[in-house]
Parts: sequence; C-alpha cells; structure tokens
Amino acid sequence: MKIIPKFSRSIFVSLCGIIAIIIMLSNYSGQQDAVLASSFLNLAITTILVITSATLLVKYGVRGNFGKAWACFVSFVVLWFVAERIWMVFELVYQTDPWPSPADFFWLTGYLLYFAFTAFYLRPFKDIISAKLAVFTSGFAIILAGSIAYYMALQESYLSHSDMLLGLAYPILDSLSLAPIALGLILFARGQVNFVLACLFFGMIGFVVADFGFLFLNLDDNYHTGHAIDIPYLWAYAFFLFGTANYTQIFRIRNQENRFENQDKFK
Amino acid sequence: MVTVAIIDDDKNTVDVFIEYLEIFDIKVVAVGHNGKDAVDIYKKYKPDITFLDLRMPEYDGIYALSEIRNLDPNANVIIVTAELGAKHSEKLDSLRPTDIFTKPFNMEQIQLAIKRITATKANTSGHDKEKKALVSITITNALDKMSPSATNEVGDRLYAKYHCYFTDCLEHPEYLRDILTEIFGNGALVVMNAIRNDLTEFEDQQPISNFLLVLSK
Repeated sequence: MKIIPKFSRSIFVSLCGIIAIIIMLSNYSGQQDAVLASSFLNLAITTILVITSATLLVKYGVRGNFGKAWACFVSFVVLWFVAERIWMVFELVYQTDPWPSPADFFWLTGYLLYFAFTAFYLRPFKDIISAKLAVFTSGFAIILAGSIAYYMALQESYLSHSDMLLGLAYPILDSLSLAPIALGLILFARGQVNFVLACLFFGMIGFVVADFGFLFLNLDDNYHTGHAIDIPYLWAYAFFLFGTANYTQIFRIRNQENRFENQDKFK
Repeated sequence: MVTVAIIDDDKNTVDVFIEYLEIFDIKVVAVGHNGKDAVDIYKKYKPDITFLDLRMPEYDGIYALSEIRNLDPNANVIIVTAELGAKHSEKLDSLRPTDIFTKPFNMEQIQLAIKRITATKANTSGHDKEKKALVSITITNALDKMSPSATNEVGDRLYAKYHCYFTDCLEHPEYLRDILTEIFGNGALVVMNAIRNDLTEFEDQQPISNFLLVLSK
C-alpha cells in the first residue's frame, strides 16, 4: 500500500524478528530471564502504543464519530496497559502468580471500549453494511469462538470452573473482536484507512492464538511469562502499534499555507 | 474579458475571425481544425464561447458538441455552418447548441450573441457562487459528521493534488470522488451518498445536476 513506506515495513518486520529472537534466546537462558525479557519487551511496546494512540486522540479531538472512536481506542489501550503493569508488578515485585488478578478487570473492561471504538468508527458507514455482510462476518467470529469454547470444554484441568471461564473469556472475546474489524476491512477495501484495520485484524488473531495457548498451557500449569506463546502476544501489540502509527500518517498535519479554503466568505 | 475558442478547418476563415474578435477585446484562447481539437481545447481552456464549424474532416462538429456536452452540459457552443441539412438539424436539436449561424459571417449577429452570453454570465455568476457555497457547505457537513480532521484532510488533499477547493467541486466532482476513494476505499460511497441526499432536497437542481450525476456513478 502506497501509504506505508518500505522503511516502515522493514522496521515492523525487524521488530517482530527481534521479539521472536529475544524470547527464544531468553527461554534458552532460563525461565527467570524469559520472564524479564517478555515483561520488559511488553513494557516498551505498550508504552509506545499508548503514546501513539494518544497522538491520534490529540489530532482528532472527540468531535465526530472518528473522534469518539479514537477516544474509545485510547481508553482501551490504556486499560490494557494498566492490566499489563498490574501483571508485571504481581510477577516481578510481589513474586506471586498474576493470574487471576485485578488485571483481568482492566483487560475485560478494555474489550467493551474496543467494541465501542469499532461501533463509532463504522457508524458513518452503516448504510452500506448489508445484512449478508453482517451475517458473514459475525458468523465467522462466532464459529471461531464456538470452536475454541467447545474444544476447551472437552479438556480436563486442575483449574476451577471460574478460572476456566475467565481464561476462556479471552480467546472468545478476541475471536468476537474480529467481526467488526473484518467488516471494516471489506468496507474500506482499497482505501488508505484499511491498513489500520488490517493491522488490528492480524493483531487480534495474534491475541486469539496467544490467549488460546495461554489457557491451554494453564490447564496443566505449564505457562510462564516469557513462554514461546508470548511471541504472538507481543506481535499482536506490535501490529496495533504499526497500524496506529501509520494511521497518524494518513491524517497528517500539512503545510498550513496550503490550507483549503474555508467558508467564511460565504457567511 | 470573454474567452473564445474557434474550431474550423478553413484556416483563412479562422484568421479573419480572430482579427475581428480581437477588435472587440475578445480573447481567442485557442484555435482548432477538427472535432477532436475542439474537445481537447474545451477540456484545457474552458472558453466562455466555442465557435464550432459543423462540417470538418474526420471528427465533425456533431461529435465535438456531443463530447463537450458530456463534459459540461451548460457550455456555450455556437455552431457555424455553410448549410444545415435536415439530418444535422435533428442531431443538433438534441445537443442544444447555444446558437447556430450560417456562413458567411454576419458580424453584427455574432456581436449580439457574444453580448447576450456575456450578460447571462454576469447575471448567473452570483447564482453560481451560491450553488458553489451550497455544495461546499454540504461536503463540509457530511465530512464533519465523521470528524473535523477528516474534513481538513480531504480539503488539504484536494488542494495538494488538484489545486482546488470544496467550492470547485461543483465543477469537478470527480476530484472529490477520487480523494474520498483514496482515503476510504469503498466507504467513500457513503460520504458521496450523504452529500447527494442533502443536495437533492434543494429545489433548483439544474446547476448541480452534473455534480450529482458524477457522485452517483
């Protein structure tokens, strides 16, 4: 796509490669190193994501549907950032098992804001969302979520029912999050704004894989922070970051001398 | 100043005609010798009046008038011909030339026609300004519903790419369509529909009919 310079693409591919290499090497070095590597990579990526998405809010304000959408998106990113830091503090400072913890409240609330973001973003375009398209995209998400739930229901685990349900909520919500994004991808096909939706789509797929892997590994208490399943998790944040960073380039601030004519003279 | 284009395959006639028009401070911006030239000249110069010979080799006046009408339904095109057959007459009726003159030129007649067109132009310029403002405000409102920064972005891109403003979109709706599609892809349809729906509420549709037509495509 024209809007993405080759340079940015190289940065993104390098970032994903670096994430994978660091996690793999740290695991080879030992579990403690893997915890530290994953935690600090997460801190770095999510901090930049918060800053980038906040930039979008500054540019848009909260007026119009896009303004409200990005306000929700920033709130979603901030809530997940808080959740990540709670997890980090529980694990590195208190040295206790971070799951379940108050972090789950922030993650789950974050999903609501994420859905609000997609609703506001797609609202101006509701007239061309056909019933067929809506059924197709939601059907895809529901089938994916249903398959995950069905598969997990067949598994035996030491986890309590409530923990199992909590763990299951994540991949299911991730799967459902794909529906409005898929809708947006179809609506904005060939447009420049489509790129951020593609990044969110692949990011959410990363979360589906990582959250499903997290739950699956937790069935036998085999998960630890920094496990290889964290790679798609960190990639997902990288996708979010790359998408929002490119979005800020679409609606960039241009030379003020080239301002388009305002309507003052007609008033 | 009134701008004129002359399309005629007879070069001597053209030279005499140019001399005469320039006496009356009428600027001849371009000269062509066939129907294809006429269309290219109209696209490039948008003259206030095009004098178009009917019979020309290859592309004739009928072809040129038809193409110019597609570009601008309100273009002032005066047909100049040595003789007008029934076959041509029928075709011309549907293409609505501004006037039809027969050769040899009656300079008094031509002067009167130019005066009439100039007067109409002066009367309609205020009207056009209103329509341009209407189109511009409607575009702004439709984009503002999405976000004021979307309005800024579309406006900035229109200026950067086509050196045109929202007010110019009445004449060049295809520029607006291009920019919206560039940003929103298929989603641009919704913005264009919203603009079109808002404009269809206004009674006098004639001056904005071409704008509405292009947005519908």
